[in-house]
Amino acid sequence: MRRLPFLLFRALTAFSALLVPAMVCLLLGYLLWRGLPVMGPELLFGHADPWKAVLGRAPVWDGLWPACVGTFHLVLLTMLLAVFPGVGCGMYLAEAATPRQKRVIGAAVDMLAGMPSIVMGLFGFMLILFLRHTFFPHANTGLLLAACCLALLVLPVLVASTREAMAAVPASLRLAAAACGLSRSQAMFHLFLPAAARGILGGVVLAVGRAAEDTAVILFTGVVANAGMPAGLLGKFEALSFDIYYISSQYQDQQELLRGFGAAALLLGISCLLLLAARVLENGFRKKWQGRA
Amino acid sequence: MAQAASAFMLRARDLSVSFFDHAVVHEVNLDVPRGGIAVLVGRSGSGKTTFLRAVNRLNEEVPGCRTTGQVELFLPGGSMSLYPEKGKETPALSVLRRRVGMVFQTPQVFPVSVFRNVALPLSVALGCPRAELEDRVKAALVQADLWKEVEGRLFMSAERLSGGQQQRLCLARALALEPDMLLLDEPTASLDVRAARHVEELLSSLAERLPVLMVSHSLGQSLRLASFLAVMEAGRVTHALADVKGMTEDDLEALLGDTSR
Repeated sequence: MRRLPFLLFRALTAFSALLVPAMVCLLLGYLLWRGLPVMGPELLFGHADPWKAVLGRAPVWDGLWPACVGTFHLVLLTMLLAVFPGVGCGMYLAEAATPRQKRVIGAAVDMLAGMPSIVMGLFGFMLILFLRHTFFPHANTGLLLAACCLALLVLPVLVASTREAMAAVPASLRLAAAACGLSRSQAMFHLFLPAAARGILGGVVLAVGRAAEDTAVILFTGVVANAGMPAGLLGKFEALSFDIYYISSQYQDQQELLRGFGAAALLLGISCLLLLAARVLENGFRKKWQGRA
Repeated sequence: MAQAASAFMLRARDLSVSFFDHAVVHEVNLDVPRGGIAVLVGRSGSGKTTFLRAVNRLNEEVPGCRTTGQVELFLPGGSMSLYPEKGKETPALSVLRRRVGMVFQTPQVFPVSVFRNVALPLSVALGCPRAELEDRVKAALVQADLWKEVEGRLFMSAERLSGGQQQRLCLARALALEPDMLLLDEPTASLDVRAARHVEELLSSLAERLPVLMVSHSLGQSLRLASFLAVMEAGRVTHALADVKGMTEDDLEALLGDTSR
């Protein structure tokens, strides 16, 4: 009889383990089932000629292409802004910070990580209002502001993953590096950073995903449903995540709702593509740095 | 040569090392004569490794370490005192560690290619020009008797080498920096008998031109290699023998002290 609770516990853990992949399959399956039928050039480019649209010669009115380009620009700009400070802060925390600094900076990073994205968006919006009333009367929301706020949002992810990856560098490697006469910063740059690259890259991929899917931040900071192609750093832009939200809240017929599913499938595809790119990058880097396996 | 001026390889004066106020080495006074391989033996936890790491100040890389006392090394170009003391200059850590090479108990290869394992400290710590790298890496691998085995696989990951090869790679890495002294922390402990013998032979030939200080677990190995032998127990040097000829493992075992400790 004493075995019964144990068996129950085991069955429950097995069930939980199955639950996750089952949910993922369900989610993906539904998304693809609804989204795939509408997938095609028309979903992206509407009635415009695809080649002309890609080259920017023809405007796209009823397709998702501008949103794709907008999301791409947004993510790229966000990562440009966030990767260096995020990774740098993580490295400093792991390698050079005093216990007190670790506590203070760590607490700040945790606080930032706990910040809801809607608050971050609101913060960006208030910033623009403040600038309008003070130094720049013509300040307006746009791509750069949205990227800045998104960068703030993904910063803690980068810091945490870098910090963990650096902490996972074995103590024996540190000793061996020191015993070879490498200074701490030399060892860090030439050995620990490459050794931790996998973990750091994992953080970057997570951050890219977060930046691509977030809607609340950009809602306040410059996304517009029909902005067309992004016009520049200060211009308005479209984004896939916002399009999905917009379509699903405003759709008038079944066809339009299906476009929403198409957009969702597209976003998923782009995320997978980014993941794949990161893998390829990592493998290439490993071959170059670690020697052939 | 100038280095023969002193009869000693190193002298430790009142050397104490503690980690978080837990003393590991207690006021050790030890004069190690020059020539051949000096071996430190003792039971686990007797402070051998910590003593060894005091000689290249590697203990300081471990948190909570406090070292008092002095270690004086007699290297070509004069003696140097390692720890800060009034009126004496101490060498920079990176310089000290380049001149006093170290090989660890388990092979600590860097997770990079075979070539880069040797080339990285050379180019980064020593500032060796690119053009000379290839020759110096080859020379070091030849010295460590590894060249023939890895000649065609220089750009393979070093982690794919066998344990014995990895340990010889570590030796090559230390030798590439052209050290004036070698510290070995049970260099054959994680190797099988044949690989261990190979490394031992290599060490005997190296010791002819380089002072070697080695920690050993194996009494047999200590007796085979040692020209000077110090026994450590509970952080103190209890015996220092300038001659081990004719000693058996049982004699040495008796010197190690109480087994129950």
